[in-house]
Amino acid sequence: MNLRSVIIFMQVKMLKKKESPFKNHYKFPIPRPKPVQAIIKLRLAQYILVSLSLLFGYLYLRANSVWSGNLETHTLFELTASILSFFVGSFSLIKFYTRQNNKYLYIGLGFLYAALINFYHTYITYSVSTVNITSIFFEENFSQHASGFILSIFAVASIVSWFYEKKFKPVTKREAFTVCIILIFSSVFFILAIPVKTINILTSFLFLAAFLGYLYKRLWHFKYFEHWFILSLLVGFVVQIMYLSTDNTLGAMFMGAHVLKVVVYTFSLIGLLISMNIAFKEVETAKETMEAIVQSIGNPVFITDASEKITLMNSQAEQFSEISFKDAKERPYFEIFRFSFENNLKKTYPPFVKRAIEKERVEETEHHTVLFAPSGEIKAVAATAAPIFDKMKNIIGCIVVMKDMSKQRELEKIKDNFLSVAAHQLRTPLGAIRWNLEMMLTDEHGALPAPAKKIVSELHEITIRFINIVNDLLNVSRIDQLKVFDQPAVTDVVLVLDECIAELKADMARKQVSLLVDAKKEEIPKILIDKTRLKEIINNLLSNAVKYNKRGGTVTARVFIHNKHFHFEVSDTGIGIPKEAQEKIFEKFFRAVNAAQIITDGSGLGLFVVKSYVEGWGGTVSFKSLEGKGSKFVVKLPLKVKKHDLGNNLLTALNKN
Amino acid sequence: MTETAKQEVKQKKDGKKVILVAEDDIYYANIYKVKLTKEGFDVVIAANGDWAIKLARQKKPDLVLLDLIMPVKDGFEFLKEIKKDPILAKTKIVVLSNLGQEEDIKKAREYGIDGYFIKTNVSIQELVSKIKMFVN
Repeated sequence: MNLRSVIIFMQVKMLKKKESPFKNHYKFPIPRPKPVQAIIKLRLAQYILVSLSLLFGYLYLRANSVWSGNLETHTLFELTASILSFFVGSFSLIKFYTRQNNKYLYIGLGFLYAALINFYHTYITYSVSTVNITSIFFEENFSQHASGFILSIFAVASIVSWFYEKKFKPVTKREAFTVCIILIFSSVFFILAIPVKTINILTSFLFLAAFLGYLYKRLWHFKYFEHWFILSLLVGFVVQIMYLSTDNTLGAMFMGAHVLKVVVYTFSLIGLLISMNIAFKEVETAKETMEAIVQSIGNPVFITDASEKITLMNSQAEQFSEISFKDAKERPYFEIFRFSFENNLKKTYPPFVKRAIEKERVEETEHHTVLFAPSGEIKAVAATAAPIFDKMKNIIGCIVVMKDMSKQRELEKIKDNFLSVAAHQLRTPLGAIRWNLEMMLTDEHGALPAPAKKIVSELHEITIRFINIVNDLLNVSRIDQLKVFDQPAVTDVVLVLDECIAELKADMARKQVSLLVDAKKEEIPKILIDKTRLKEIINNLLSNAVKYNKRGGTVTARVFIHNKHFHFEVSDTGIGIPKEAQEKIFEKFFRAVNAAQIITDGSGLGLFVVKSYVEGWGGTVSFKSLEGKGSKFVVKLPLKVKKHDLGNNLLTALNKN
Repeated sequence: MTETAKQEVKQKKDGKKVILVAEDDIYYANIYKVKLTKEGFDVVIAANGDWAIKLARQKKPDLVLLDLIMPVKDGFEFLKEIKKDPILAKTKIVVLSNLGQEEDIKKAREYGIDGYFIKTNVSIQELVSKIKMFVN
């Protein structure tokens, strides 16, 4: 299956659903990588190693608390911690916006908040030592321990949120933000209300809880950030224990805790940087993979952004447009790919990519689309434009797949040529037969005996029917090629109707069908229209009404003007159109079952021709029918046909369907 | 004397109206010959375009019935030459062909013809009355 058929398949599905398939299924399940046992073991070993070294360090400091630091070192550590915390918070928020994972929101805001408090703490402790300004609102001790407390709260919040999403329902961005804001304000209250030692106990407990929670989450099996974050939490827990086990400010234990504080932030930062690096690499690979896919598609393909500017095209498209991607990049697609109509090269093709983007649906070019290359070459093409949606269901661009149609068009031309030649060849003997029969009927070669004359008259009818079939075939071929030249002339519609009736007299007489005509010549103005085609319309409808009537039935023809439209109504008392056939009745070569049973040699082209012409002129044709009771066809044509260009109008009319 | 009576007199003076039929199909040629002779015309048949041009120069017909697809020279070539000829340029020409494509009709009309009929789509009676209309 190539891309084009996939798109067409999607389009078909879409038509059924009336909605884009992308909208409902934009989230493709991404398989999780399998955890590698070696990595898990290595990381477990790291946790144990870090825990042990922390334990020994702690015991060592407990036993040898002779060393003591000074305020400058303290300030340096605090400042470093603040800066690191700020970076972790910022990066985490960036990740939140790209990954849309709430975890990064909690962690990011927690670290930023911690950074803020750390800065404040650094500032006031430094001020105390030099300028000696005591803080008005918060004492030193508050800021000393608040940052860790905040961090532990947000770490726990992130893991609780994960539990909640796993057990219940996804948390929206807005909800996550609300939780964060509540946490920020309530934590201030806690810090102010609770004694410092209690805060430390609480914090150590929270760090431990978050640590165990993240271990349980098991994402550390393959996620770098989670692994390093777990290490951070472990160290954070130890920091609190150290704070708890000393009262000696600037003592060895106290300074050790500060060093480890820096380690906490460093670990988190390392985790984030590694994970971001991996993400960047993934994006690069994904981009390369996508470009490789587009390049490998056998058809010419280009991709535009939402403003129809080319962002990517493959080498096939380069050959097609004769413009290199380098030159085409960032330019509107219609400057590179100049689509036009086969039968009207001057006309630019309507912006179907824009339509695909605006209507959020797949658009296909029409049958007679061509592409102008700068070299002057004109290529027969077919193109399909499909909008591209992002995760948030926004349209971010459009992918256009083209196909070289020259061979198909060539074949069509041969077919059409064959049809017209064949029709011409068929007509030649038919015409001679017709005229000879007509001369026999008018006793040109002497009077015929009555039985012979009857036969000749029947032969004449058969010949006329044959001629009509050939004419129908030719008409359809012309409509298919859009080679219908309008030849408008001032036409008396009632006169045309009379001509048609005259031609049907024999048929009516044979079927004993009576005709009622309601057309007031003086009331119907002459209209400017192609007389031959108008006659075909009237003739087709009238002859159907006679052909498919019951013996002794009635045909009613009405012509009147209403609402600036010329109306032509034909009702019959015939076999009617079965319900299941009504939908298809205007399709070419279609014949209802009951009709085919009565008249076996109908071509199924008459109503197709009627509809094509009427709609080509901007009119409508409709019908009401009851099987077994009869049908009524109504043709409405504008009194002033807007554009006498059936060929082009047909194109528009056919496309509407 | 009325207008029509005058015309009749004139017609009798000049003798029969001459119709040149350029038609390669003998069945059609035969029909034209029989029917139009009966209707009182002098019918000359040419089986190809080249021949038709020679006959046209010689007979100076009142009307030419022209088929389009013919050997040696086709109907279009006939038209091209006739329209160049100062004496014959104004000869009335009606195309009778089974080519019904709009392109052919348009092409023929551009040479300045007086009528275009698709053979299968007119009855012989209609044709005769049209011919009479053109000749008079």
